[in-house]
Amino acid sequence: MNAASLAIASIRSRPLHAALCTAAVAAGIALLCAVFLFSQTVSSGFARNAAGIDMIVGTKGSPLQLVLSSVYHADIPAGNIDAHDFEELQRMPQVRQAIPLALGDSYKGFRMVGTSPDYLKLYNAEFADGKTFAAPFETVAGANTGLKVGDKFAVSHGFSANSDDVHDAYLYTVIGVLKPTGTVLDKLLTTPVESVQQLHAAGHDHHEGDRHGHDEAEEEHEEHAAHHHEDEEMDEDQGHEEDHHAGEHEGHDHEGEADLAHQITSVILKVRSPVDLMNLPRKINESSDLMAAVPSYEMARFTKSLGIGRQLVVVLGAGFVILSALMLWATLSSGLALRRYDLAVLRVLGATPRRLSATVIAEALLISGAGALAGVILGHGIAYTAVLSIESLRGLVLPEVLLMPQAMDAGFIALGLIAGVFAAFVPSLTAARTDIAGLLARGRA
Amino acid sequence: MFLKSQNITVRREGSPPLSFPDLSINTGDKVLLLGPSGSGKTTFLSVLAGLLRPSAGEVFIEDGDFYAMSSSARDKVRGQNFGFIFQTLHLLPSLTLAQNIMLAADMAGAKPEAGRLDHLLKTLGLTDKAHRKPDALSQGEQQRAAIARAVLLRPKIIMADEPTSALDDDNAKAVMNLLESQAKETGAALLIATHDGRIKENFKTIINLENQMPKNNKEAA
Repeated sequence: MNAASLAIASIRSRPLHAALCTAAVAAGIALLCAVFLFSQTVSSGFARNAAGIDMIVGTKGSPLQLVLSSVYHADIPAGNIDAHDFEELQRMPQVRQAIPLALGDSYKGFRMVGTSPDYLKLYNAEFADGKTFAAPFETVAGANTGLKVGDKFAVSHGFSANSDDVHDAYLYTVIGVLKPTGTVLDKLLTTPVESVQQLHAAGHDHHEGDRHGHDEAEEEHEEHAAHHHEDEEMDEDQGHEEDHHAGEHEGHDHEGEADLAHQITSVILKVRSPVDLMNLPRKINESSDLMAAVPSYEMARFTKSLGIGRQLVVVLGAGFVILSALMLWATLSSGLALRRYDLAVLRVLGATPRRLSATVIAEALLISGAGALAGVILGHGIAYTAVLSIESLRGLVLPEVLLMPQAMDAGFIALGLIAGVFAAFVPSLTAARTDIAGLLARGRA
Repeated sequence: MFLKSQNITVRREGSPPLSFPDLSINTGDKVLLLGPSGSGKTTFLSVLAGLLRPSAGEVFIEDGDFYAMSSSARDKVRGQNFGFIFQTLHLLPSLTLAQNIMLAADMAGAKPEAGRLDHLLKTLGLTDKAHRKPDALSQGEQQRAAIARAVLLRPKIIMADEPTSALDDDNAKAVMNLLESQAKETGAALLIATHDGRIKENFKTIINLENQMPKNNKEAA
């Protein structure tokens, strides 16, 4: 019969009190654990997806929007830049690698990214089937798209899954399917930049598109265009707005088309040295129409701006933990008042005051430890559910990580135990100071 | 001489000081501490057992000054050499009967000799009740369990505080027989504090405690 088994006996004698205290500790720890796990998972998800991307360059605007749209594919791009800018960036001595990105279309909500095969290497992607894209309108599908090699599909303008603005004059062919990477690449479709450029050049001049834009396109494409001739009337109706929009370019029609065909959305840069990471963005931002953003820096700013909501939950969780410690204190004290005769008997039987303290502390630690453990498990569950239920985090964040123990769990359990020690401090002194002779003389309380 | 007290006085706040006659007990002795309630019997037992430091006077245990020891050393001496029986028995309600008996060894940090628990349970007719909680036991069974706990470690002295006063004649006699036989078996001294005159005949040495409450005694030396 050691301190722990005496403590267990004491807990058993008042199960409701113990259960309530355990629940209070669990609630506080669960809140804290969920918040920290959630933000850790999200920021590590952000970091993992931006690994290898030193810098992103796009049109002037909001750097956060640029990062969200071009690195995480979670926002719409603000605009395009000229393909010449890409070449200039590529020639800069500080730049080790430049990867173009041309965005704007999607298939069933999966974004079509015009890029180079280097983009796949950025995420260490491996092929589950097929090979990488080489010719225009060949596409490599991410693991979550559900596409397989040989699938053909038309993309729609914009990023919405239910857009009816379909570029059905061109069909993409899946030539490769990637293994899951746990990154945003899993829900992307990748293709050469030229595919996107041709599609949009043609899209802005529908009538010419079929004749002109196809000098490089495959035969099946022609076939397809022919196949869809019956729809052309509708297409034309829809195309009216675009025609109207394109009207101002009519004077320099050919030049305008050339421009559209030579635009990209952004450029991923890898620099040669950390110093360039500091200097190059400033240089780009000052001397051109381009804007450079460093993803890690922008995301740090972004998560910091989310900090207030997070702080609120942290304060709430900490409040719960403190409250639970006070509850436990009250429970231990009232338990001692009930058991003080028992404690006196233990002293008479030879227990030292320290031993009685140990019994009280053991009781507190058992309750708070059980609460902390339950809280950590609950916190994992909450964070897991949160990550799963936030659509825009899908693909960015790996929820499975939340089903496994994390290093910080030990800290939360320690926090629960500290709360227990705090709660037991005064009651354990009370137990040690039990006035045995007085209690015995008065008889059972 | 196992246990000796000299000139013990206890002063407690709000009540008059209590003075106690000198006492010396050897192993195998049987001593009755007889006095009405309020005469300080329990207080005297507490002082003798090292639980309450007297305001004046000394307690010697095997010729060592009990209160010169450190408090944890006193706790250890008490745990290993004293067996206690309380009037209200004080079995812990959350523990089984066997656990309650073993508590004496656990708290004293000692191990009873092999088979001691089984032997006691058998002798006292508690074998099949060993895993019951005190609530599920009769008064007599609880009484026997309390005696088993007191003698588990073969103490040198068994102290009992009003062990019979709540019992009828037959049960009082049975308990006294049990206490005496257990004391004899373990070779322990028996010190009983009571106001129950029925058990006087069992003792040769009787120490009378006066009711000290109404008096305003002068301080003993």
